[in-house]
Amino acid sequence: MIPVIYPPEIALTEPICQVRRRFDDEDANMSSVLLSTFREAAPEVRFIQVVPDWKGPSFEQLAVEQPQLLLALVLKGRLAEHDLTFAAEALGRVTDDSALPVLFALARDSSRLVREGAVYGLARHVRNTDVRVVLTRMSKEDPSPGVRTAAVEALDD
Amino acid sequence: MLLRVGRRKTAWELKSVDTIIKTEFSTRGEIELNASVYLVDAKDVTRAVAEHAAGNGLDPPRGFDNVDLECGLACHASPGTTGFSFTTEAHRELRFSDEQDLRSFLETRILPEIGTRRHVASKADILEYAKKRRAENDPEWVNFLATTSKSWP
Repeated sequence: MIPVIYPPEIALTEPICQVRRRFDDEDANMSSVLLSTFREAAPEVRFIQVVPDWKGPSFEQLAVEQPQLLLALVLKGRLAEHDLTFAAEALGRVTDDSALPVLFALARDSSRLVREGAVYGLARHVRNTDVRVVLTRMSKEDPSPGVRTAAVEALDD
Repeated sequence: MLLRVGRRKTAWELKSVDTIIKTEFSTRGEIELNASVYLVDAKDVTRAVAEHAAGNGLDPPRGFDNVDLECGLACHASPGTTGFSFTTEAHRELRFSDEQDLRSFLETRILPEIGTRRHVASKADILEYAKKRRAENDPEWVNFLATTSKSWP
């Protein structure tokens, strides 16, 4: 029986060596688990990040009432992509510019879902020059047709 | 058609049922087994989506990739909440017994035909529609546009 670990964020499957589990803090992640192994993980070891669905307050509500919490959720990687896309959109509602660097990073996420959400978040700041630069790049270079269309439409304001 | 207003263009690009259920048919971790749709003709797609967007306070407006879920399944009357009379009356619910029922529906009836079932309402279409309604003194749109941001016409 292959041991399967189910902390909030990580599940390990098919380990071929014993993995000493150490979750010293709430920010335990794949890196800390890997470092805790007492043998090198073989290439056959596959890491799957398992993140529960967000069931808390709406992201729109958090953006207005608890923007730092929303930012923390995003920055700590505690949202699956299907939630992160909507969190990204909601980050656009944060009234100061503190969310913009985060949105710029999300605009380069490997998930097209997340990048589309970032477009909608950035669309609320389309008068910002840096935002327009990012959206222009996305409108031309993003590999997803949906993201490109969303960026084109966001720029047309 | 039974028009489901899309949330993410990219979800339908991926054609992954898991992703579609999580993004298009779930809210805060709960799957929407009573899926909201609008019973409309093809010519009214822009109207339905524009009212949906306005009624949900979408600002700035944007385009939507929407899907026709009509497959002969019974739909149930359920008053809409957009505040616009057309979509209030056109609103219906498709009801699924459980996640597997919804999954099977998407896998076997919708995704194989997604090319013909997609109906796009672009941002330009929606804004043009809103302008026309105001020009024609449609009271619903006059009231909405008087109170919303400059992102709308």
